[in-house]
Amino acid sequence: MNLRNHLLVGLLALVTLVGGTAYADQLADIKKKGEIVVGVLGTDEPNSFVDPKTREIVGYDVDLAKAIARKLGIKLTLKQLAVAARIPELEQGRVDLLAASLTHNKEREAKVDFSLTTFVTGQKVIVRKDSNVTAVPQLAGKKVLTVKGGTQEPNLRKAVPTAEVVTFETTGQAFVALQQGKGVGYVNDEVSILADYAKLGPAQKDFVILPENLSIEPLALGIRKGEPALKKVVDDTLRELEKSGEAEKLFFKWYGNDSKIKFQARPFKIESDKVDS
Amino acid sequence: MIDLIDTYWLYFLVGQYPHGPLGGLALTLILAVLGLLFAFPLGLVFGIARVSPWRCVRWPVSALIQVVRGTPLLMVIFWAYFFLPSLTGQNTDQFWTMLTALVVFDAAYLAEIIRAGIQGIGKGQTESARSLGFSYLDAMRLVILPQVVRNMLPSLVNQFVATIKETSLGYIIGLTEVSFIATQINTQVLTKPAEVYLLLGLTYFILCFGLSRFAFWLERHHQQRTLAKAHA
Repeated sequence: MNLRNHLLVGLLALVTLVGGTAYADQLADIKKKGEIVVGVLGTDEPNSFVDPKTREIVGYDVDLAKAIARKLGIKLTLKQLAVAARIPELEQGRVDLLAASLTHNKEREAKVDFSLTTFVTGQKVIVRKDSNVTAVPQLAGKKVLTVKGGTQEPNLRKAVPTAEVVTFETTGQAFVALQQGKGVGYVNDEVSILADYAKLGPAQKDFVILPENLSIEPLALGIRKGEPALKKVVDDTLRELEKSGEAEKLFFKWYGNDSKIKFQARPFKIESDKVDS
Repeated sequence: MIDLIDTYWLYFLVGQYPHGPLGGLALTLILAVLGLLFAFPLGLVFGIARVSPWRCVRWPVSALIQVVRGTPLLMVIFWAYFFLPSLTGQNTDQFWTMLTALVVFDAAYLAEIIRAGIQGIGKGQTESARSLGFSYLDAMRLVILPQVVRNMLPSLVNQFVATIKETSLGYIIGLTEVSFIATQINTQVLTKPAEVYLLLGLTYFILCFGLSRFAFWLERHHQQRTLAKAHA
């Protein structure tokens, strides 16, 4: 299992090195096709997940993608991606845009362009109560679970270098492993942890969310490198959403009192595409 | 368990269809059926090529079989989907990538079963067919292969069943076949992994067991027909 995972991560790195094909102007291509293909996770409530009643993918990321398609006056097609496949799929042009809980950091700027920051979340750890862990440093030497291919793993390694990190294909699998006691803690974006925590029901008493942030994650939409025309349309759409108050409405729709997360305030505005780290 | 089935059965069966791509059990079935339909004839051709008296036919096919046997299917799928397009500039679709990988892979394994079957039949059979004036290909087609397929049916069925299960590897390229969907449902429900994966396991079992029974019936049916012919 482990060997296979390493093999895959290695291959992904190789693919990323080889890179994708060059296109003249992606925006013109998209308009000509009359369709924009947006990569989403589909496994990360409330950013993008399947609504069992309609069997459609819905969420905050999806609503942003819809706004962009509306602005362009074209059809939106969603494509589900694994966390580790997001950037290769974008680079190879299988998707036009990523709306997939994608963290914007300096390291990734070398491979992808980012839109204005669409969400800011802390990355946190939820632990089993029976582990008696009450602060992040106490995870030293213990098994901690998370998803592979995201920023969770490197952030955890930076915060607690001696923690034994076990990674899974989806965040859901990692969280199930936590419930079964295969590790003491589970790392993810705070919003996703809160959504998962809400689903535990009576079992909530066995888990605690540690108060410290491992990091602050600005999330943004991912655009293939060197596509200024597409980036401008995306950013303009986001600015309009912010100005009209629509962005705030979307925030409270997915993260507010009617959601599982129950955020009372919106700690950020969609205004900048710069990040600190 | 009941509300799990009640809420998600349609998603499990067809995925997002018709509002999105077809997925779930339907996609798994289509992949498995097309995989078997294409792999069997290709496997026959490869198998015959493996024992061909002509080197220019034997060698390339043998090389292909050795390569396929020496690499994990998971890696081949991944490679074909992510790496090949960055070399060729031609983007392949998830479904066809998966189907092609499955067909080539299984054809190679089937070819070895066919080869074993051909070599297990006495040389005398070919020789007598040839001396009766059959061409090499006719001797194969009319005398050798019918015996091979009948003798090798258990091994062939083994490989067919394996094909059904191999469709689950499509998750690596985000193909929404039934295991991908089950994982997704599990992520969504979060508190019932045992039930979700039990249902998934049962689904595969029913598919594979069904195919095995069908093959068994076919074998018996054939035997009876042969016996009846012998008595007539």
